[in-house]
Amino acid sequence: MLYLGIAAVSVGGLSVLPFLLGDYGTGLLVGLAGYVTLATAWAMFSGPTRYISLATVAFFGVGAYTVAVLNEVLPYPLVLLCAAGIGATMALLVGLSTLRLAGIYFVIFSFGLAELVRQLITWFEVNVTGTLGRYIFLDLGAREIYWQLLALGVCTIGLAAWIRRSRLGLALRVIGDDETVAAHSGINLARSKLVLFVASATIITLVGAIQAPRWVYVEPSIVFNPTVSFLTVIMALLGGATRLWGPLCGAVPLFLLFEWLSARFPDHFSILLGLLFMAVVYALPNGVLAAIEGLRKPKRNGASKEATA
Amino acid sequence: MSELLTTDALTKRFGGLTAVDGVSLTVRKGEVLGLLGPNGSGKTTLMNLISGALKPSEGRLLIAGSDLTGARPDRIAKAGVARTFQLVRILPSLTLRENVMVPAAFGPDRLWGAPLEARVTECLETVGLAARAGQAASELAYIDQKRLELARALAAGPRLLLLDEWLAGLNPTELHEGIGLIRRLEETGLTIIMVEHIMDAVRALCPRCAVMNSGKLIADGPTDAVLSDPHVVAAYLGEEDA
Ligand SMILES: Nc1ncnc2c1ncn2[C@@H]1O[C@H](COP(=O)(O)OP(=O)(O)OP(=O)(O)O)[C@@H](O)[C@H]1O
Ligand SMILES: [Mg+2]
Repeated sequence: MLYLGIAAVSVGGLSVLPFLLGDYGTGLLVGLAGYVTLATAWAMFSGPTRYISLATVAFFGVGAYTVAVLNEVLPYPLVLLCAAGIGATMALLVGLSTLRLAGIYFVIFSFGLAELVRQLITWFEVNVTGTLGRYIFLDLGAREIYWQLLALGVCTIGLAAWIRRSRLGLALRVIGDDETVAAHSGINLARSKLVLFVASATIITLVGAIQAPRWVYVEPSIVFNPTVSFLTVIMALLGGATRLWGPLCGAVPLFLLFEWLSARFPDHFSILLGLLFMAVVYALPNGVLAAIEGLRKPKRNGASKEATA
Repeated sequence: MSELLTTDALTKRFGGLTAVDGVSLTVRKGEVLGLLGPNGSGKTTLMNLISGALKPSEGRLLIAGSDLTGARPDRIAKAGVARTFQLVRILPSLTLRENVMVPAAFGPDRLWGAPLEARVTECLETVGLAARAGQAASELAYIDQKRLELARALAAGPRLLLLDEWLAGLNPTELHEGIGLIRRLEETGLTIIMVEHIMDAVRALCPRCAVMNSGKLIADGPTDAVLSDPHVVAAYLGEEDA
């Protein structure tokens, strides 16, 4: 009950923020809410299974493109529903064909997937529809987009919390530790991984769909930018991908840092991103939250060792 | 007595090597079968075929009357087959309690909530690890990892328990305790197939023995008779432990 109270007050506070911050601040909030949701959804699957997916932008881009294609044809809620349906179907097909792969092959495949989808859409637009770019005419301001992302983010964290306590959450942790033991304990490996992969990818697709109106003009090279995939991974890893609040703790400071870096050093942004990626993986393999706990623990261990020595 | 496990000419080839060669075996409910044979004779491969880790090249596998030839390991686990591994496999990032929860939650009984907790506590108590339930499994010493693995297999509530050299690598005191533990499981009526090299343990625990050599079953019957069979002595016992 206490937690629900705190959650309600926080969400209430977060939703009035756009009124206090200006246009620039609201723009930042859109990005923040988007990346917190992306990182949490990513970690929902990749945290426990340890399958590093670089396919984030494949789904994100498909979400954005669905809105670009359908925004003049269907009412907005139906457009979102279509985006979710397309993302889920794509995740189902991709999952069925790749989740049997060992981790390292999965990483490479997932990276290739984003490029493949981008090339397919480019080819289709150029050769079939004859229009590469598309316009999104939706009357949605930054504020409305932020509220939608906030709602999606809250649902995502809620879902992640629920999964952690569920049978499925336990199954995925076991799979992450030892697939052989998991299978011999009665866990259906393929199905457990698939369910989570589809849930995670559907949320990611929706983030792309909801953010799409921010662009007004959309073409494949804009919405399928691989940086989105890499940022999502670094954010989740920095905070700790196996913890509920880890991705959020990683996404908030990193998003603000990236905003500042890309404004300050636009030409060197990719290099800085790469360096940061390496630093995070090298220095904090289990994320900051684990590192903070680790800082506390050694003291106790040290004390007990002294006592026995 | 009813037949719990039947293998019918079960065969497994790895390239040119036939690791298990036409093994037909029947185990009835409540039996404890010792599986012997020299190194590389195919004992672990046979256990892998029965538990679904490997798919047979030929032959059939029946568990409690249903044909599970070629079934995935999770289906076979749900049919009530639990196992330990020759090279002990614990789930290092989970606690002892969580390790033991897994087959109870996903196996034949699909427990959750209070019944799951009760099953976990009961199994940890059986192997003497209940006091350390909250500890991380990665912190355990070898013998305790073996105990944990057994507790995990028991948590499934198995009809058939496969033990692959579970007693190997224990010191004499631990071995004595281990034999006592398996004897108590036997007394509850559990059906067990145990691969074992330690003859004292086989004599103490297994009324019936089967012997493999080069993938083939060369003897199967009452332990005393099998251990004095000249073929068995020639193939196996003559080398080391007579
Ligand atoms: N996955 C595999 N691929 C190829 N060959 C294998 C495989 N598993 C086992 N073998 C081979 O099959 C034969 C039987 O091996 P297995 O492990 O079943 O013997 P074992 O009776 O359990 O021996 P040990 O007493 O040493 O445990 C060996 O020659 C082994 O090298
Ligand atoms: Mg073996």
